[in-house]
Amino acid sequence: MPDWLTHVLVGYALATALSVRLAWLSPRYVTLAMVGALLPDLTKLKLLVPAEAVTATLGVPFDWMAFHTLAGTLVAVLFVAALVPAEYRRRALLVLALGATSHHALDLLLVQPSGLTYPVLWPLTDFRAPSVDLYLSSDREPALVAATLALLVRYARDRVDPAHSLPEADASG
Amino acid sequence: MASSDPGALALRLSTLLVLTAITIGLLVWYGSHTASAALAALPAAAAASSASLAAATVPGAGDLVVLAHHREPWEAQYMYGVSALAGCWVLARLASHWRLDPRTLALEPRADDDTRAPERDAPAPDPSQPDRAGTSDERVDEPAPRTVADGGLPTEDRDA
Repeated sequence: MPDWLTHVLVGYALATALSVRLAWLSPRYVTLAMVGALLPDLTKLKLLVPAEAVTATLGVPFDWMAFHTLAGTLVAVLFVAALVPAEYRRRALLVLALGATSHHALDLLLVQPSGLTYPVLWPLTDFRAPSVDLYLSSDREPALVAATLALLVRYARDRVDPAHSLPEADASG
Repeated sequence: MASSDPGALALRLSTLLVLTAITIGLLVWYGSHTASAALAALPAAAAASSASLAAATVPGAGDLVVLAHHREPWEAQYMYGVSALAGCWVLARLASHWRLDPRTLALEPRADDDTRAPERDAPAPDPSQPDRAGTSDERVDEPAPRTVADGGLPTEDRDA
């Protein structure tokens, strides 16, 4: 994966850009897009609880990487959407899916030592596309590009819709 | 806001339990499915790679070759550092725009932070109230958000 900052910034930029055309896409939904952009990396739970430890404990094969596939990401998106009240759920689902899709799009561009990407469409197929080898997960350029993109999008959004900049002018945004 | 209806809570709980069970099933399924597939794919994958690699033979593993990029310690520190920063940013935004109601297990939106259009999925507002047209039921024409006493938040929490 690229670093989380890149993922989050791209999720922010995409949702903010869409907010120009979609009046309902307020900062709270932009936040959900950013959350969605991190959901596939639930696989990083392996840093806290190694899959081998789970396998040893439960006696069954186990791999956190399932989160980093179509099925795992979809279930994670549905889980977060299920937490949102029904009247907000459809839109929450859309932006969460947007963020999660952007995550996979970025990860498919990574340099892969194996020369192949991961089976992103599992369990539909095990197909691993040849890697694009555009950047390493520790490269600084992706975050720089994403930050520039996010700033440009926000600037453009504020120019097109100055009213939106008022509620968005929060400490975290 | 979400209803405190016991039926809605039961439905949400059931949904979350089902999704949790599906998640565990996927994690186990993937674990059993990919172990052999990954090993089978390694030789072809290694041949296809054009990147600069550090290769090492695993003792006792025969022809199994592990491929990895060399990464300086500071690069890993950078990656984890900015990732932690991003995680904190998202958490701060999440806490600013949403709150988890322990009674309903719902991620409730805080006071509306957009005055341009209804945020809910619901269709157009009741035409019998024309002065509220184009706004949801928590729009800025209702300046007083819920209070702590009724499960809401004080005014100063609005879009911090």
